Amino acid sequence: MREVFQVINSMVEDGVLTTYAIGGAIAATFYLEPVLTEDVDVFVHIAVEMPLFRELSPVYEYLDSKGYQPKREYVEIEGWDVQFLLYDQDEITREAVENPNTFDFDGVNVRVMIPEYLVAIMLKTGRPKDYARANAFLEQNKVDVDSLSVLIDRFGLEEQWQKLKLM
Amino acid sequence: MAKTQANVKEGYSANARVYAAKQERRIEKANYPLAQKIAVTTKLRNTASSLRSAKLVQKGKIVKA
Repeated sequence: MREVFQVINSMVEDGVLTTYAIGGAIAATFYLEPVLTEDVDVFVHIAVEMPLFRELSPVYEYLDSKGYQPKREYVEIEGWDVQFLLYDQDEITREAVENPNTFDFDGVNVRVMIPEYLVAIMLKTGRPKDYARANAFLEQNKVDVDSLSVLIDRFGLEEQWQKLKLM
Repeated sequence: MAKTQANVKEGYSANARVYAAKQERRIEKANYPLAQKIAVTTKLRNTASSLRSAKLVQKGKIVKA
């Protein structure tokens, strides 16, 4: 995993990405008991403007040049499936990427979405596995509920929040 | 024009294609042989343990308004 983070950081250093943050199940694993996944979801802002449908091309071309061939829409880096997702159109995700926790993982800095944004995104996405994971954050006291409430109010997630509380 | 239509058929956006590929990979992984599933689970358990011991060096924040 360390190599995965190194490669992503090098994409920022080399000007392919403006910024990024790890989201999804791997981000949750920084805070919770492990979740079964091999997917590393990286939410990114691409440094150069690209035409519609080709937005992620600079990412795939860069990784290809480093010997990591894209397989369809993911790239395998040191045994992990890494997916790059654009966040420009989604306000919660944009804020989550721009205000992450930074961890030192074995000497490599890695930007990871904070728990409150992860839970807000899970509420918005609303799949059964998202509710289950959101519940785990609450049960394990990994979120500040007052701070989460701010996001619930701002992004209109009250209905989903009530649903979660009934579970 | 034909190229644009072909692109539209691929999906609404780059992210839609990524999510579709993720779903396909999930199905592929569900069909792994048992030994491979055990290897994956072991790798995840080991990695998760080291991720949780990562040191927080800069705290993120919540945008209040």
